[in-house]
Amino acid sequence: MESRHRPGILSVAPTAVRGALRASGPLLALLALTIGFALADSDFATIANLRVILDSAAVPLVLAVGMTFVIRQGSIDLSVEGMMAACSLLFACVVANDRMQVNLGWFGLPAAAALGGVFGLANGLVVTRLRVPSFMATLGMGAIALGAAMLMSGDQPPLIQDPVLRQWGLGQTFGLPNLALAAASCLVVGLFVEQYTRLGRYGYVIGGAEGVARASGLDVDFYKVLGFAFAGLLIGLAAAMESARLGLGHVGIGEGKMLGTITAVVIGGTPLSGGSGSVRGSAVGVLTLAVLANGMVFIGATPDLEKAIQGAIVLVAVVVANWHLRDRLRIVK
Amino acid sequence: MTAVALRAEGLSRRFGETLALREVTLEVRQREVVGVVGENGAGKSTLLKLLAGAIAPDAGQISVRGAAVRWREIRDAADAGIGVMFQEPSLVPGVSVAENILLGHEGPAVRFGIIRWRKLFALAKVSLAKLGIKISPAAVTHSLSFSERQLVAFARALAVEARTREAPIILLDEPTSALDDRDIAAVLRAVEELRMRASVVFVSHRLEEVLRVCDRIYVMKDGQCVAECDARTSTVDALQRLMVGHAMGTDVTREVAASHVEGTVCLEVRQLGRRDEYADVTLAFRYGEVLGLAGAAGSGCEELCRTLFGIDAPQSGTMLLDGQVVTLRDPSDAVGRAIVYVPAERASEGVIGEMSVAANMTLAYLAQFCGRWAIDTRREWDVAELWIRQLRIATPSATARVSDLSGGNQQKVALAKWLVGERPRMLILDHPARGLDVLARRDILAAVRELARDGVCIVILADTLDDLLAVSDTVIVMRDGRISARYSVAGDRPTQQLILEGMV
Amino acid sequence: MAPFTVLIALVLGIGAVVPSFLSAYSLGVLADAASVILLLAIGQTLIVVMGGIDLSMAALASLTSVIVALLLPELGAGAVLGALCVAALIGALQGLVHARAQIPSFVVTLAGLGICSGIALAIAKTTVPVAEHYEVVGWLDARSWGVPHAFAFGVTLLALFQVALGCLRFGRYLYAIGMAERVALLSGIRVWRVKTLAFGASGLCSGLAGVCMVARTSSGNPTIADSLLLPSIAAVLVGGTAITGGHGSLARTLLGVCIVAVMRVAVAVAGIAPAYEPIAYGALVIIAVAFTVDRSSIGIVK
Repeated sequence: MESRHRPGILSVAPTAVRGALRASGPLLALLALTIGFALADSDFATIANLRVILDSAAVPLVLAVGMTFVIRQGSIDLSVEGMMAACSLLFACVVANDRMQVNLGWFGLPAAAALGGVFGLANGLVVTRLRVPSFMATLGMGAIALGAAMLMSGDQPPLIQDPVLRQWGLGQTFGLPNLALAAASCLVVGLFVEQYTRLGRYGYVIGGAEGVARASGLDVDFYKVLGFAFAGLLIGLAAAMESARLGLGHVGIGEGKMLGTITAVVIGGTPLSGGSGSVRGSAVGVLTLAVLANGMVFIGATPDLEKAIQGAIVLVAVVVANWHLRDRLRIVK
Repeated sequence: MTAVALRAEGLSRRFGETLALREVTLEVRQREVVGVVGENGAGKSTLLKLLAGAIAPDAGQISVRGAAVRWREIRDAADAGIGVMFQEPSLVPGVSVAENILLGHEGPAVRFGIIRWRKLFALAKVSLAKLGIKISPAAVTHSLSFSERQLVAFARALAVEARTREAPIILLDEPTSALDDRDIAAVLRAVEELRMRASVVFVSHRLEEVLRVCDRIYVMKDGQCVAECDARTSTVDALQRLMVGHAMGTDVTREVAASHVEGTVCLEVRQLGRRDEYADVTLAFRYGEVLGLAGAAGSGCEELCRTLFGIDAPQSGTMLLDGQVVTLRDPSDAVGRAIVYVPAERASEGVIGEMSVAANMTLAYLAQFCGRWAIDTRREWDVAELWIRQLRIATPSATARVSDLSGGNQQKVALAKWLVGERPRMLILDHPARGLDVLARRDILAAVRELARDGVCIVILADTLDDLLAVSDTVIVMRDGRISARYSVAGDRPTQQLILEGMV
Repeated sequence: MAPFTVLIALVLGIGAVVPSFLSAYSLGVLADAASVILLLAIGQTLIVVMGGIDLSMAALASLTSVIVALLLPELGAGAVLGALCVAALIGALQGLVHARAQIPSFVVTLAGLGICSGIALAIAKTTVPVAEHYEVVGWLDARSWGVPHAFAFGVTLLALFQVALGCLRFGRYLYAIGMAERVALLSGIRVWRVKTLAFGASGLCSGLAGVCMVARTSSGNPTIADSLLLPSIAAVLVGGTAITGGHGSLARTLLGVCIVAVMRVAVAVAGIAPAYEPIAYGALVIIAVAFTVDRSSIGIVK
């Protein structure tokens, strides 16, 4: 039962303030973290280090934009690591490399993205047609993609020999890392899709009230599949970016990325149950984790703990976000 | 004679074993507002869901403007020009008001797949303007108050007008519940305006409002249409009498209690309150007494029972069990203190369909059926057989799956669950006879009176006022979260109409 | 019955192609391959029956292997006991957070996976060989009459848990929660306690799996068991336990483990590239869930 009171100014204001706080929470956390590390070590707050942070955040950002769409519609994608592996191998095989004669040059990027899109499509179909819960479907799909990557890799991972692409992966333009610029473009595209297309808007509807969506005649299954496919495209692109930087197609290229991506999206304000959140918040989340990892090196903490810290962060974030929803009869599986 | 806009002929609908609607026939003419009234469980909501296309009838036919229709989903009905506002706000919280109003029908505002927001807002404003409310179409829906969301749902129903060239048919389910006076006035004004160009079905338990805006009124009871009245000549009193059925309650099942000896107080609540549910509830529940709670949906009766069983914590007031202040942390805490509860939704809350009768019966007090380590299945079986006999449960054996039993027998199993251990202090029954046949109903109520004779403190939310008066010693009527009347059945026995007046 | 026929078909099919597959030695190898997955699958079954999932089991097993390998020289048997207690505690903690904070089990255990894996990597960047007292766990790696001790241990544990599920209150509650958690709550069952205990048990199983790995490789490694998560989940699902919960049994899981083990060995025996393993498990998991998911109870698939 909701409030029966007449909404006067006084009763509206606190909600507005609370809402604003919740929205800017992630940003405040990022600022606090940055300032904290800057105070701890003066070498942290240099332009050079800023570039390092942006560079390290590039691939995670592309992944997070895609993951935002999936989580917002109420699903989850646990296939990131396997999909990145497969797309990385494909990319390395179709651009100038030491194993095959193919040389697609820049077209390697859309090729990798396309493979990612196909895998994403498969994810969506398994969820909507076979009625397999998304965490299980993507877990299985990820393994299949990983196996495919292993097949493509064979005994020796293919080395990328295209100098232009390698330069793109490692170099800068206007003082900013190329990959960071590419990631920023993906962010802009994500924002546009989120605000101005049905894929974006219906994602909010399906995640927030799927029953209402169906009753209103929305083709829920179609948009769910589209959401997975969109995320898949971005995962493929991210794999290509990382491969260009590393210079090879690698089966382990996605290792550890899954937890990091989900953590970034969650702390950026998108609830795991879906229905709200924006890629803007996910970008803040990605930057926060990048600053955290970078700063930890400066204060001497071991980088191995990164995974453990991400796990702890996502746990705390989800517990805090869901605390007010607790109910004695609420069923959570 | 004005043309008929919507006609339902012989509609029937069953949910599991319950016959929710039985051969209902009604019609709505063009430029007319038709009201539908009835007690809880009379079938009003089911009827509306059928007319909206949310569910399909088992029998009967719906025709729109003379043409028979067969809808598969709400969208089909919407395309035929039927706009609905359901009782539960069916809006999407995370998107703007405009998106909610035009959900699924954004067509004109989308070009080449790109959403043109200005156009979307303009379209939404058209519907909002019909209600004369100042809600911004860009506002995010979850930031609105409940009343505002109710109004947006209304605007959504009205949006169907833009999609059809014919006069629309608007279905409203309790449109003014939980609204403040200013918004109620806006809604009623909008309904009166609608009459000039549309047909409206107005379902409500607020009889004064129904009489004010409607032209004709259908009265429903027990899934049937029992009367059709002209609103101009009808009164609240007459409507209530029709809703209740026969004037004087003739209850065969109740033996006239001689002088009722008051038992000691089992549970006492003082100024118990829960925001937006109920407030200032002070009651004494006594051993050996059946206390019946009567109230419409949202009156606080069901919510109070949830608090008594520890499902929700009270936000103000105190509870005293046998004289001691007590705070119930959760249902297992309540059960630990011998306060037990038979829920209304038997299939999803009362019994586990896939488990056997015996396993269901011992579920709550399983510890008492264990030997040193393991469950003593022999003892389990024996006790189950005992209660199968006691309550006359029709089942092939104690090991049969509960889902194979009829509703009445399932309910008996749900009740037996609380009786296999030591006698409970307090037994709360939430609509225990819902959807049961006459015999099962009689058995359950007889068992309840038997338990009261044994000294158990009983709280019952009866399904019908008939049952309420048949089984209760005390009747408490609630309305809008507060107690509106108290009656002692042995003393000044209230009539059903009196109770109904306290409820609405 | 379907899983059983699948198993027979697989064994006979492979036996027809590679006759030596059915020899005692080869079956022993099979049992070896199955032991660790069996231990993980036992714990996973409890959780799946309850309607949840535990994604942290493999990482916890790896962490346990590291702890045991590091402490075995100094504490001997005490290291094993201590590590098992820690594993059970970590499991129970996850269950507690899941039950009390009302967070979906896959989220809590996903975070748990990260935390355990991260801690394991922080403690030991690479393989930690067992310096002394290997014999405390070494007996697990041996065989008697061709049967690996680890496998026998696993089967014994499975039988024990099966009895517990069937006879104890805990088992009844587990199934009740999986079938209809709401009814369980309204019947006064302390669901959070059952959940915590179940996850503690699965943590214990993870720990035992880790100990087994130490016995097999004479060392501890922070990522050694990671690849076994999917096969163990596949084993539970292929055996016929539905992911929606409320049904299934450990006997079925044993079948599933056998099927998965046969697939593993068949791949090696038939000379198929190891890359096909994850593909097979992934496909298996999807197919198994697609066939066994209880449509009526799922409603909206997220």
